[in-house]
Amino acid sequence: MSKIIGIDLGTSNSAASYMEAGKSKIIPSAEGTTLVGGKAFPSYVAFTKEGELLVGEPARRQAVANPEGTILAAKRKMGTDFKYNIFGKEYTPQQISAFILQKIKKDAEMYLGDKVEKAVVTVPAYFNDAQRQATKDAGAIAGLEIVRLVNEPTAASLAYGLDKVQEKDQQVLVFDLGGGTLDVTIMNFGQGVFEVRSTSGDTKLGGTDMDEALINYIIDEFKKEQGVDLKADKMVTQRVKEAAEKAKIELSSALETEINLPFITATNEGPKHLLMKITRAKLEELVKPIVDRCRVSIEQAISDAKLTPANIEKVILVGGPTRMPIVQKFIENIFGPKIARGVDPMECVAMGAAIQGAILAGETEVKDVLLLDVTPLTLGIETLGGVMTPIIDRNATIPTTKSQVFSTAADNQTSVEIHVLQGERPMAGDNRTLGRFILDGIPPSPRGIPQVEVGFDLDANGILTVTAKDKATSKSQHITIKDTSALSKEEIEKMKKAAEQFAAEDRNKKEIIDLRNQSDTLIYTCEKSLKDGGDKIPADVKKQVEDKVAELKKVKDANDIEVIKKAIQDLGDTVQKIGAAMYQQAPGAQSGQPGQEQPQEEKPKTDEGPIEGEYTEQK
Amino acid sequence: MSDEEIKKLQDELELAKQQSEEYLNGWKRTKADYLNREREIDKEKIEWIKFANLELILNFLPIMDSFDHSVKNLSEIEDNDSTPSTDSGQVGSPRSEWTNGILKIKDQFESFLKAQGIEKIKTLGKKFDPMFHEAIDKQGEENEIVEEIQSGYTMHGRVIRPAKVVVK
Repeated sequence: MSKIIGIDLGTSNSAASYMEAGKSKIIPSAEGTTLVGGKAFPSYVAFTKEGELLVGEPARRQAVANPEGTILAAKRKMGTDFKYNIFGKEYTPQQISAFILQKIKKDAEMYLGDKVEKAVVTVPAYFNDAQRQATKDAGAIAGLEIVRLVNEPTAASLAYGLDKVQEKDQQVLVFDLGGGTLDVTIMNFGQGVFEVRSTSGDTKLGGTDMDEALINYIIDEFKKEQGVDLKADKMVTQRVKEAAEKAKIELSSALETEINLPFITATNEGPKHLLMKITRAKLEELVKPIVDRCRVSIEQAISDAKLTPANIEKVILVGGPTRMPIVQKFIENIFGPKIARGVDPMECVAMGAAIQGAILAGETEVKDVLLLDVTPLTLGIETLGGVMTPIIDRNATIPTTKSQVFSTAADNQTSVEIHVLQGERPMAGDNRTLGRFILDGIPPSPRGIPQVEVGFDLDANGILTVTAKDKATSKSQHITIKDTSALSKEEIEKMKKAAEQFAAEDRNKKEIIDLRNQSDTLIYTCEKSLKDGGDKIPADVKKQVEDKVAELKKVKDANDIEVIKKAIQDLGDTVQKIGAAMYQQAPGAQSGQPGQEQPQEEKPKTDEGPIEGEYTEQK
Repeated sequence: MSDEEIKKLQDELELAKQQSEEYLNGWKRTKADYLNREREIDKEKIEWIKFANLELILNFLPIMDSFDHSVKNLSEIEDNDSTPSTDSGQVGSPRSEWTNGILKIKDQFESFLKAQGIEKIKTLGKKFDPMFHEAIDKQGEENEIVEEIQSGYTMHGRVIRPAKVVVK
């Protein structure tokens, strides 16, 4: 069934959102690859002289070139008798809004790959009946059924999950500072209903004023220092404007930033560069008068609602400029630390609308929802050196099946023990044992040759079946463990915490084990090469290798990582001489070829091929 | 077995049949969802790889802009220099090899961008097209681009930054 999307139909920008797997997500516009606001739909509609219709980003781009054919902020005319007259044709504000809704519908359908026929659309809390009806009409013209109109501050509150708070009535203040307008709304939330108590605002106050203050400062400073007025040149002001916007964004997280515009202009003396450090303090000094103007609207809203700042329980911030620390400080100075956080202030209105849409669609969809569990901890087996080798990773969705092929650790080993573990620590001993069993009857062969497939099957109820199968004989054994999920939440958390706490120590321990395993493999290969080579190996080479083998044997069980690494390196280098010596003796052999018997420094665990397991022989 | 018992068993069987049908359908649906998702992921992967560097490139473009400005400035200086230096029939002062070297570095940057599938959007003398251009100023009614204020770029054919222009 088709989704009900949420649309924030804004004065200068619109946004759309939908719900997927219980989360709201933003729908990008088809042109959406610009740096800032790439996801938003500018609320621009334009008709070209050739009669072409442009909506959104393309309409915004040509606004300067075609002012008489471009309409913006049609939202301010909704519900009035105003008619736009464009090249001799008349359009109502509803029709203009419908073009924007149609564009959003089209882009949403392309993005979702599904038909979109219904939407929840947001309107300002102060919209009267005529304005609301006009918005509904716009939907009808666009072929989009508006199933519900939601107040913008209510939608923002939904995005923050305020509707989930049940205990008592709450007073919520929504502070919506956009590019060019400020809206302040106070709502009472209780018994599942948001009730608007007061609204106020300023239609000529916003982020654009802040940008301008910064641009003017930069241009003035440059004039003071260099005596050149940058305002005269459009290209230059454009560069300053972009740099100022970037600096403003950076100063929300950094305390200082640098504006660097080389070759900004040229005089008779040669090129001039603009290089200026701007601190957050400076920016805040510049925008403070603008931020202070917000106080009037806030006080108005509070007194209209017959409240005091202390009565307000939650403050919700909407709009890009509210990301600035100075705006947040300003709010906290009035209300204390009551700002709700965690949702993008530019997207929260559209997201709230999508949440409302999902609630409305709710009843019919519940049946399709099949809840799948995840396994809270990693499941694995013990391998060579007491290492825990994960088979099913934590947070895997169940039911699931995984298998891996292992091998033997010693020559002529005829049985392996499968030690099933649960936990996040790298060493087997630090994890929880779920069970053990033995697979025997493996035909005697050199280490690393037999292939034992270990399969883990975790069903939807958390019941784990571990199977081990010798691929040569097809002989298999299995164990069923019923209580993989028997741990309480606290125990699971404790195990996860322990993993984090001991992470560094565990890594160290595991590295030593890995090196030790590597040493064992190398010693084994070297001794085998010596035995296989017999008399063909010159006595001096043989002696050198034997010495190095003895050296590695001596140090490998100590805990000094560097010493073991060096011994491995030495033996590795020395043993190559066996190969070199033998090839020199072989008739017709070309010198300089790598020795056949050069031991490969195998890592005990790789993704392909058999993995050496720690299966000690059963006697 | 009494009729009642038979009826009860029949009902149970009916219910079990219904449930098994429902479950089987759910299973098929999930499996189909999974296979479809796999296919989508394959498609998305190609897109991701193609546009993986987008963020990086977008942050790199302002540096390229500065380069453009420096070169533009260079030709202005040369133009100024060329006016008085008409002696010995020489047009303009010869560009120093050092300057030529810097211009070559700019070429390197440009061919690097080209190799990433990034192309400059053509502007001067073209008809204004809002799919590729953004108008910053207007000087007449002809809708023709007379000046480029900031270069625009496409990546694999998609506009990543529109060109900012003046139209006449």
